[in-house]
Amino acid sequence: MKREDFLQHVAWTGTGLVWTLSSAGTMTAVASAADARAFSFVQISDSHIGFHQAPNEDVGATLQKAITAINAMPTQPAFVMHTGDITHLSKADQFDTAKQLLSTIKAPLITIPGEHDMLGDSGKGYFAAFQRSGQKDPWWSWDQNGVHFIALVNVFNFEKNGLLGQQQIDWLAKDVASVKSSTPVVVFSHVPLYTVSTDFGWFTEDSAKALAVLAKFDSVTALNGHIHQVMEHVEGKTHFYTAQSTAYPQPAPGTAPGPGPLKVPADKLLSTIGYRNITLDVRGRTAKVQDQNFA
Amino acid sequence: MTAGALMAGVLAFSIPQAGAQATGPIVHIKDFKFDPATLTIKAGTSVKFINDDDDAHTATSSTKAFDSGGLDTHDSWSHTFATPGTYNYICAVHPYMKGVITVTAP
Repeated sequence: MKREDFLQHVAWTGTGLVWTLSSAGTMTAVASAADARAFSFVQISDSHIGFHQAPNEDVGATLQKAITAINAMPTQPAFVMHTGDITHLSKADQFDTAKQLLSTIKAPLITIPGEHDMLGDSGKGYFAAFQRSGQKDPWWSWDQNGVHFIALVNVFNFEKNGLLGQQQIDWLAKDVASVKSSTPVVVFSHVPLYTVSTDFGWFTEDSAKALAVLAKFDSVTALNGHIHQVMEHVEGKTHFYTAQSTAYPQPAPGTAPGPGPLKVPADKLLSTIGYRNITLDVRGRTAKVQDQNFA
Repeated sequence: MTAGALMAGVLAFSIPQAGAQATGPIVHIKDFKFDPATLTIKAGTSVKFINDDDDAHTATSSTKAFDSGGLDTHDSWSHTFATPGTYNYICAVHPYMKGVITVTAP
């Protein structure tokens, strides 16, 4: 292991300490201020591969814009998370195209499904294309750089979108039981875990149960897609950030009869879609969320 | 042309409703609604679902007795209802969109 890689791996202890390797080869804990290296990751969402009409007739090209920009980042993200609706209609050729494009991302790719990825076959096509190796449940968690990351799936019940279900909530309670409350938590989902709009169905019916489980933590950052627009919301110690799409915007709640594509003029499209860079501060207690547009 | 087919043709011509039944009822999906949202048909009838919206939709039975899968704009999908009963269905993309098809004995 190269020294640089090793440092990156252990830099985030969550205690404000950074381990450095001296020239003599001994490990030393020093104040975190010494570490200028930022821990960052990228979120992309709602690429809707297969969508082919106004306001975006080439959603592959705009996903490619995101990939090109991410691959050009001087400090590569620790990973890229796609928060679902990778395809528009769950068709095999759409998963193939999406997989080809997303496989060109240099950083490790992580995905969770959206409801558009589960149509007709209860997710068989999605999991064939994107299932992680050795994955037991579709939801999972991992620890990285002192942060506890949780990937939830709230698009399994086609009659209630979103819904986590008791099995997943029970898993979540068990998962975080042994995680210290001072550990920063980042939780991903496709549908928002707070109520953005009941009229548009932009909420997760049982999210209150999940948020109650996470209430013990000092800092929770909840990142979602689904609604194709940037919104920020705070409940207690949980900060919610909904992401824009790489394909097309959707209307703000209350401004349209339904949550369909917002037909912005061609010269406005690139300023309404994009990707997101998330930087966790040295203590990992707060997340700096930067939404980037393509224009 | 057989005598039976000729007879059916005559009936269809003389009774407009029979002619409509020959092409089958259509459920349009428009403005995030099924239209008509309630429909009563006889067993053996084929219903055509047409997506007139800019967004993707499905017609998915609550019991998965039928499922159109994702319907793109202008896509259509047909299903023949063989068994009498009440079929509640939703759009799996927008589950607040609801419809009911009641199938009576032929």
